[in-house]
Amino acid sequence: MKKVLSALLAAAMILSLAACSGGTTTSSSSSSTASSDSSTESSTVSSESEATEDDPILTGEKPELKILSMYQAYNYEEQPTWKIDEELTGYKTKWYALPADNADQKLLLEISSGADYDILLRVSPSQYAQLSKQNALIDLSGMLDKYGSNITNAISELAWQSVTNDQGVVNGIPHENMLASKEEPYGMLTGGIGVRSDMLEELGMELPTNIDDFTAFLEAAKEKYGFAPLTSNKSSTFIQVLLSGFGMGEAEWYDIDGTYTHRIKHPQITAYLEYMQKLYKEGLMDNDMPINTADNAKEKFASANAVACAPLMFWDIPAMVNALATNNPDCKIEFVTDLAADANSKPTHYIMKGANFVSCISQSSKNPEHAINWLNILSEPDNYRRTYIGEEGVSYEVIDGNYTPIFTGDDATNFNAYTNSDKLSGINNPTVSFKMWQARARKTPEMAEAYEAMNARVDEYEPLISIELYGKTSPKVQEYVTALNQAFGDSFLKAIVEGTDPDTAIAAMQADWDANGGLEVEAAMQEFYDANKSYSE
Amino acid sequence: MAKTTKKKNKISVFDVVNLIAMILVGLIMLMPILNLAAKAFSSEGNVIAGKVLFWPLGLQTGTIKYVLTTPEFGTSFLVTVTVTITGTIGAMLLTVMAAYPLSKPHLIGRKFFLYIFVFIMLFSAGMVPNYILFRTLHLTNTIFALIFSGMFSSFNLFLIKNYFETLPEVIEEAARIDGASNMRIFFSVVLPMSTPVLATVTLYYAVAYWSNYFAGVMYITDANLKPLQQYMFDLVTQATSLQDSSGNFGDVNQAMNVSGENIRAATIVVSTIPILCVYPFLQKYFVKGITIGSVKG
Repeated sequence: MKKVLSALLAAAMILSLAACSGGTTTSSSSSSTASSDSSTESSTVSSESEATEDDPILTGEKPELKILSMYQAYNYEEQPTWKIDEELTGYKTKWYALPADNADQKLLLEISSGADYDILLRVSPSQYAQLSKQNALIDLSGMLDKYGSNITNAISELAWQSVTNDQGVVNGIPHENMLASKEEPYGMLTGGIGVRSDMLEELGMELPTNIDDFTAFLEAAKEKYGFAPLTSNKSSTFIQVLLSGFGMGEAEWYDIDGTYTHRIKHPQITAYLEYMQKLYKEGLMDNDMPINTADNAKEKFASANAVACAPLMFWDIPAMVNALATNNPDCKIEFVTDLAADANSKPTHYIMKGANFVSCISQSSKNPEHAINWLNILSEPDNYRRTYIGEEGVSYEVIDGNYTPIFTGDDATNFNAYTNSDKLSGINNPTVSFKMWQARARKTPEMAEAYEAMNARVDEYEPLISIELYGKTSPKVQEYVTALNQAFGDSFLKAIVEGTDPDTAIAAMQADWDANGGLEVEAAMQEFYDANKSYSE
Repeated sequence: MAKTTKKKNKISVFDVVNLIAMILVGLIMLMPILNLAAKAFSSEGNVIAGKVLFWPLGLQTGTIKYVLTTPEFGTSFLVTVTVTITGTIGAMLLTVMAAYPLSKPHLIGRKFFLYIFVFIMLFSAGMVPNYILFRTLHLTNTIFALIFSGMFSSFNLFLIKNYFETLPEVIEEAARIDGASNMRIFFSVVLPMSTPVLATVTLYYAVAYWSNYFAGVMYITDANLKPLQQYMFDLVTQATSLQDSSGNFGDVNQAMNVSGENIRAATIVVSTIPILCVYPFLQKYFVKGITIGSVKG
């Protein structure tokens, strides 16, 4: 009898457990529906009128905001800027972050199950496109008109277009890349091919500035040292510095007589392949390039088994200086920047306009207006400066018009406190914030020296504007472009290694491109370019 | 008898080959760990120059100190230690208390329950339903998500159940005659006799909790609750993906904040050491526990 009783009791417990969890499901899903309804409702209400002085959003109690943002190795709430944000805005904030890996899936899972983050801060353009497509986001136009004047003032027309859908609905706030401009190009060169200064001296050569000089430099280095002088990694099939010698560069799309043309169909792509094949075949380029990781290439360069390393950026310097010192304490890194086609032509450099991140608000946000208000306060130009680089005379100073960091004084207030401030700051004019960013480039004397040295040549360059990043956010392009670029890169690398006839190889790559959605991508990009061409002038 | 002893002492060619092969396999497994440890204690310059193999060059402890004093590492370490200790205790209680009745042939519905446990061992609901369940129970972004998600394993249940079945019934009967209750018998008689299997399964659970990366990715977006493995994985993935992206970063701020290779190595070393320390203490029970538990059944 006892056994029967205990068996019955166990069964009853299991049933009650199941009932409990069932109940929770219903209540939670109904509450999430309710909150989503209320958010839609409130967004409609707020868009009806302009903000007034007694608007509860501006004057009333400020709720704690839940912010979901991109992965960072640091904890947002451990950053000094977190507290400054709270002081400036009056909002308490709780930050959450996506993982570094599988962030897209995690974001979709969170949003589709009704997670009530108030704002999704700095998601990638493709994540934004996905959420927008699934109607998971709310229309921000009304709220921005009412509470977002600093935000709207800071963002360019082209960037706004990139987040406006066919029905004219704005679901996102673009964060434009910090960039130099055509008018003030200083600072646009940030790296290229790093060259060991000791070997350059031994060779008795100047830094090459065009393709012919560069080839001559590699040939001389090969003859002197016997090993392949240029090392690179498997991801660097298209080396920006060399591409510029063939009328291309960091951009993938080019205006060829009015036709917006992908690199794969650029008239000079065959010549570029031929050049790369020559470097590889003649042992001027590291033959391990197809299997090298970025770390492998740097190792070879640092241990004097290569004269030059592509790519190397000025921010690699602090770590590389120590590595170079292990075999020659006097060795520095000099940079070959984008090369000209020959001694008589001017080198070009592409300024890549685009938005790396988009902020948006999901349907289940409980405080959408407050979230916009919060971001708007942070985007007020003085507040932006305060959160991004701190206070003049304490964390930075302006010397000859250049922002320079201050490291003396307390680490909690000097420039060190702002190392990770960019992801906790608002939105600002990208050209203005680029100048502030340069304070970071001057963080160590070696870095500052290299950065200033390469940009001392900036006047020799013809800066060109590329707007392709905005075009690439189109769903038609997104559908194919990753696979197409991957296939193109792989085939190109194969052609370099195998030394296939360049014309045949490129023709095969183009045929493959056309057959796998390339034509659709071209049509979408052309349509985008025709409508927005004026922004690249 | 003498003949047998002689045979036992004789080292055959097979033994030698076997020993050499095992040593080689062991060394191969040790190499990456040694390499990481050497990098963690070497100067950054030597690591980037690719000079460090199995022995530190430019010996320094600054990187380890840096990792240990990073607030994010400290938080994650504490989360994982808490989850591992509470989770393992909870999981052991749950598992032994489920295994004990199932080891008794006279339990009503025994087969039914056993089939249920076999079923959940072979089939699971999958990632998304699990996520939705945790979200509905308001467990996401709480430490309980990390604890509950690894709290029961059918495999471990069967190991313990099989071990319990090998214990002589007469001892329990003797205790009962002496007036011991069911609970008393369980805690004072059965469990003390089962130390080998308990130690083994404790180790299984502890290691699983310590190295659980997936629960963090699934249920946690709050950095204050991020387990150590997720912290470590994210750090390494971000650094390698950014560095391999051919210098075309776009986000110039992000590019400047990549952690160096020696910092990554030190983080991995520091987070592996604590769980490695558990092994020597449980090693002696380990082999015995797993064989006794699994062979009979």
